[in-house]
Amino acid sequence: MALVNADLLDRARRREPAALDLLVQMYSRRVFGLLVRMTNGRDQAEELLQETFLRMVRTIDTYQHSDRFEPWLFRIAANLARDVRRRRRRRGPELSLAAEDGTSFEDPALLDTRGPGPADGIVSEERRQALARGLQKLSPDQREILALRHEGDLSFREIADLLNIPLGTALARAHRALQKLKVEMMGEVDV
Amino acid sequence: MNADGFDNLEQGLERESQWLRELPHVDLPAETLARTRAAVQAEVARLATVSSRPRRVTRWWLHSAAGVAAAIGLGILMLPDGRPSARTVGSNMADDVALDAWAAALRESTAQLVVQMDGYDASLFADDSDEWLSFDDFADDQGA
Repeated sequence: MALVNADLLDRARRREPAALDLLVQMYSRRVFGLLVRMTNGRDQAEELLQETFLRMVRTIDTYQHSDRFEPWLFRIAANLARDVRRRRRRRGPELSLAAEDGTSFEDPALLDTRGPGPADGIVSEERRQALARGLQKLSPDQREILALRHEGDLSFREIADLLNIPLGTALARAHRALQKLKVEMMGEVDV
Repeated sequence: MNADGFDNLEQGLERESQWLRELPHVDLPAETLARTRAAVQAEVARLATVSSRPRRVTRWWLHSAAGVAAAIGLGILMLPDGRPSARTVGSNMADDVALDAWAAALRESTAQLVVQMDGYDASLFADDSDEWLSFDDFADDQGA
């Protein structure tokens, strides 16, 4: 996966339109994937996707070159998704679309579908849907950490830093989440 | 656990999660990407407009405020009686006020004390004059 280079970041910090557009194109898919996993569906994820990049544009002049760009960007997205989750909890269970165990009433398969194209295999689509269903069975914290790992492609160290939790906590949470996800997906697809 | 322990755990989990990384990712619809790109470019244009306009006004106000502050500071430093600093001026003025207050209180208490003495003519202190009578003068007046 192509990493953003210092020259592109310098131009983005000067708010050059072309540089910022390139960043959007490079990272939209991963950010969107993270937001789909962490929120209640694609509509909300799209809204937050736009908000993530708008905040990126507004605050990119504060970005320090010493940090890797991806964790900085994904922190914005993750915080937005967490805000939505907090607001949803405050509204109460009768208005929330999430069940008590954290799963969504929305069909998990709909969270991650696309029309089959020439490059898609049935097996790939089955694995995609099995993953979506499995992730929905996890707690929000577990889903968040695996989404950052899978969609964000961040290291566990970066994830711990982004979530502002100790590395040990991140590793333990990820380990439990992986075990549970594997159990959920076993029998559906080869894991 | 020491750093090495964490490193081993982390590497172990990296290997353990390898199967996760190989699973399909969420698809991003083309129209979603297009809308996001458009929104970002609109924001870039908006910020460019906002940042260019008020800068001159901000500078003007900053310069004026800086000028006024400098004038005040200079005025305090350049006092006519040669006092070197605003702090000295302030403390001297405070001393003068305190002394005046003490003197007034002393006169008041002395006047009250004398009035209480037998045979004292209170009219001696009836006016607001700052002229004090010495006790010798007082005694002469009373014919002592």
